[in-house]
Amino acid sequence: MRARYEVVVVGGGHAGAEAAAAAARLGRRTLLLTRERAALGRMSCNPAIGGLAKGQVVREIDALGGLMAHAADRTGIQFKVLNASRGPAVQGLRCQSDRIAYAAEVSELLSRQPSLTIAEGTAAGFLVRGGRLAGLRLEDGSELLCSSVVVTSGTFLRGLVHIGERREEAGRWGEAPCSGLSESLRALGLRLGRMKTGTPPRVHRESIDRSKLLRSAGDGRPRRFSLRSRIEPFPLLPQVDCWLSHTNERTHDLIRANLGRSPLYSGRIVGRGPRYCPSIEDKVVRFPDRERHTIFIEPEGHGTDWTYLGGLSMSLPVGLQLEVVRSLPGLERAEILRPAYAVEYDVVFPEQLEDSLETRALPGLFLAGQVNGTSGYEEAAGQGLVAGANAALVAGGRIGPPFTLGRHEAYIGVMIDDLVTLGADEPYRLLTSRAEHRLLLGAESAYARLVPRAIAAGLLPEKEAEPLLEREARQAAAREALGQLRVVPDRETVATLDRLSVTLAEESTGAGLLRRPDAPESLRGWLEERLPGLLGELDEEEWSRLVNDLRYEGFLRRERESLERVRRAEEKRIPAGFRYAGIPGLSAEAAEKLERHRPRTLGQAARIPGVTAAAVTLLLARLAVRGGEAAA
Amino acid sequence: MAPLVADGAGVADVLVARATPPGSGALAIVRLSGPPGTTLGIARALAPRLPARPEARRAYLSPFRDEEGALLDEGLALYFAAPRSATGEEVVELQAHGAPAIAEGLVAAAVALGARRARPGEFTRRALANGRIDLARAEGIGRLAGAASRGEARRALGLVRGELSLRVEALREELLTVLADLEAGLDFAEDVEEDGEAAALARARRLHEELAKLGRVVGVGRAEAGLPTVVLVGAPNAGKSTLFNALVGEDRALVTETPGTTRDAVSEVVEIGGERVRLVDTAGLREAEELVERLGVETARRAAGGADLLLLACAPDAPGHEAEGLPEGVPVLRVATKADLGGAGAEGALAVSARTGRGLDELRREIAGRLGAEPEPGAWGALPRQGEAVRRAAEALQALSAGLPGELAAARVRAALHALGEITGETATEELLERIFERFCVGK
Repeated sequence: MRARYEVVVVGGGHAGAEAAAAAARLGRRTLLLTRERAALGRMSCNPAIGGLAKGQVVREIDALGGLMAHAADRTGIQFKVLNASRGPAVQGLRCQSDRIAYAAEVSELLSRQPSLTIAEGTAAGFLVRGGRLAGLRLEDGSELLCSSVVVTSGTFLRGLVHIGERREEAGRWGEAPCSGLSESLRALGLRLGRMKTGTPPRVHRESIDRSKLLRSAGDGRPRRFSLRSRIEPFPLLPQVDCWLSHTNERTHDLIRANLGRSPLYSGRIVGRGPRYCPSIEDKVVRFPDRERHTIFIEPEGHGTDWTYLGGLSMSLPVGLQLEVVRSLPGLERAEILRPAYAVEYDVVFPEQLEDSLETRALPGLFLAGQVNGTSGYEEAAGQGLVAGANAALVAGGRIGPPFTLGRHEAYIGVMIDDLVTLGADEPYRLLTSRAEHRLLLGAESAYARLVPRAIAAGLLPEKEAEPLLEREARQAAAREALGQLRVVPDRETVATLDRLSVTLAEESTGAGLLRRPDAPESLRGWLEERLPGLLGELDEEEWSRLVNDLRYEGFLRRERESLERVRRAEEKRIPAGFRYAGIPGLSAEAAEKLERHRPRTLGQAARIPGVTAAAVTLLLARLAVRGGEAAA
Repeated sequence: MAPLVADGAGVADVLVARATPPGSGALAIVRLSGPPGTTLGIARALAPRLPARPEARRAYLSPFRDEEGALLDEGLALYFAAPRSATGEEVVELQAHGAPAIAEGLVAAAVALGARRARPGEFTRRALANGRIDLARAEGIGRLAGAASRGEARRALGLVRGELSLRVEALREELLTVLADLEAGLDFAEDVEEDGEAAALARARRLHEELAKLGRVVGVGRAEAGLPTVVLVGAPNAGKSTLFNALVGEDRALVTETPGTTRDAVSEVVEIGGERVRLVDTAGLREAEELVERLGVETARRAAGGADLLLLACAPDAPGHEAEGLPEGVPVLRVATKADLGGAGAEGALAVSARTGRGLDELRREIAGRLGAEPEPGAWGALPRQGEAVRRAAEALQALSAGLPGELAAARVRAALHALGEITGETATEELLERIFERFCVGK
């Protein structure tokens, strides 16, 4: 009997949407199983996409044919480049989204995707045949045969919402949790853990006194996430302002006096929360000397009065929440539409996954998103795309290697390698500092890095890839031509350039002039006149990338050289069944860590905390011996 | 007797080797190291008076027997329990009399009982693997084993004790905090004030100076090939060769009464003030008539140019313009030779008589003093590779200027940390994040 679906994706959040779309793009008959169709693409927490490191991930998803960049561009209500004063590698585009429009856009994209079906239902367990996944068991008792499954359960596995002393079994506010799946995962031999995250209160827009707030506007000339879809007009939706307020001593006293009523501090919450996204209780306790903390007031869209209070996530009782909110300037009369809450949920420790995000415990079963111990829409989406692509490859009877991204290729690669190599004992968030080759992973280079990979994997149709490749070619041609454009210091040239406040003392090239840190904007026009065909076609972003590439050339070259050195360690593979126990001289601690994480390469082994340089040397020696034996 | 150690996978071998240098001496030490129980088992077959539960670090007097039970010798057996031993494993040391046959007999008997002969450096490798020592210390042990002078042994011991590791670790710690401050500004731009960056860069520049200073002295000039060189120069027949022989302690250079007899630079490694020093004798620095002689003079010039110290010999019976033709920039110590012949001796020169031995000790002290003391603890004992790493770290930080964008500054600091990690053998990502979260209140 032929199964109706080859790949089933459980969950329709940011991971599930990308997973289902990727599997369907690879031509597999795919089913997206969600408990509520209306919840597809729902933003559970902040109404925003992108940010530092995350903005780069959104671009990477775009280069790999995914949905997120396109949906964000169409529904953004404020666009802003973070770290704009710094170099291109660490800039991150972030947008405020219209929450409702965003979910609708994702739902629309999924509905239009060929080979993809969306159905409502709840997964309860897995069908196993011959040690492989054979299908899915649903809560209503029915069975669904398929070749591979991607579970993207978010915070729903045994989800428990806390507000003060109140506890409710829920994966999100007012949405029932999914508990059967936890047991089924455990029954497969997977180790599960418990994590915690939180979300701040939403208040009514009309109850805010903006005259007391600091305005935070978006960029005057907004940049877009997706160069693949290039929606016009851009931005599509009217743009809005965000606002800033600050906590004060009264806020802090209130929190300190009532810590016992916060489940975080009363010991009722056991799961570990994210360090980089602390609750206001945590901030007040851990940094007692800080006089104030910034609160970001973000509208959730045009069709709603809901307003998000970024920085104020907490789990105090509702009455106290109101007092805390009203202690802030501008929010004295605020009305809470939905209180802040903390949520605890089950995660599967991700070191039990392959770098394709397939579980070792059950071939054919993939996990992506928060269930792997991450946080963030972008992190979830990036994993979803990789898991979906690999689930499709498995369903198609994969013979070759899985679809994986290296640490040097993509932030998605850095994240997945971190997860499967180091595991996660708190919700994992991408940071640019996690990438050792950060300078090579800027948003500008995402298409250059990943479009060829996407074409090869079948994730991006050539028709869609073509304009992106042309763009790269245009860029290369312009760089080349500027390098060859001689600028000779004759009287006329010197005088012309002098009017642009460019001093020309000796012969240079177009590239040489642009490379100067003080090269003025007006130089562009002068160079365009000389290379009209090549430079005239460049848009704003292409031009800034051209200039950046020239200015950072030396640094980038050095970075690529160091990459080569690192790559050698990454290429030393450790065989799958390698036994660490009993290696003479390997400390018990190191052996236990290595046994638990099962690194695939020597490079991964070296990144595991507790594995010393000595242990790596020993492994290297052991691998060399084994290699010798195999050759003999 | 059947071997006590099963030859199965997963069981670490018991290693055995002679721990003292080959050849005969007063004592020979045979060391056994391996898993608890089996190691002691083999040791007790060799030294039957060693009890089943020996006290750690205590010496037991025992007859030594081979695998058949035949008496080989009598000596001391010392027991070290794991992990508090040199290798981190169970260790037994047998101190026998120095005849090579006895030590070899013990090793062979241990092998017959199931131990394996240790390969060179294998004990150290186990200590490294068991976390008893870090990389720098392991390398120090290698040097200690090969130390050829008291100074080298002392410095190698410094490496073993971790002097360089400690110094580098302290610098690395500071650098990590600098990086945390830079990274916090990059990754949490909305939460962290930017003025921290300038302060971090200023700290990084100070660390650069320290590393550069350390880099100038760590592992340079005092490695095997780069022993400090003292070159004897002076007019023909000024008594250079006699002085050379007196310092070397044997008739190494040919001595005649004819000026210019020494045509080649003769060199010998001697220990002066606890340090190994290369001592070079040269032909007289006089323009020679004969071709052969001229060749010798050329050699002298070259040797003198590469010296750390010149000993300028001047004798009352061999006047000459000593200072002429000496290379610039090399310190000169004047020595008035043949002091037994009388004469005033040159102004400011040290009077020495190789014949009577007068002044030789003062000369040695003076040479040692002029060659200088170790500029940084652990500096001279370091390996060239370690010096390289320090210098690479310094170089990485060199371009840090106030205007450098944060992400580029961070890349430099990372490169420096990476280089220093090659000495202490650590990686930093998780440590870095810990530090950021400790220092900054970040996140919405």
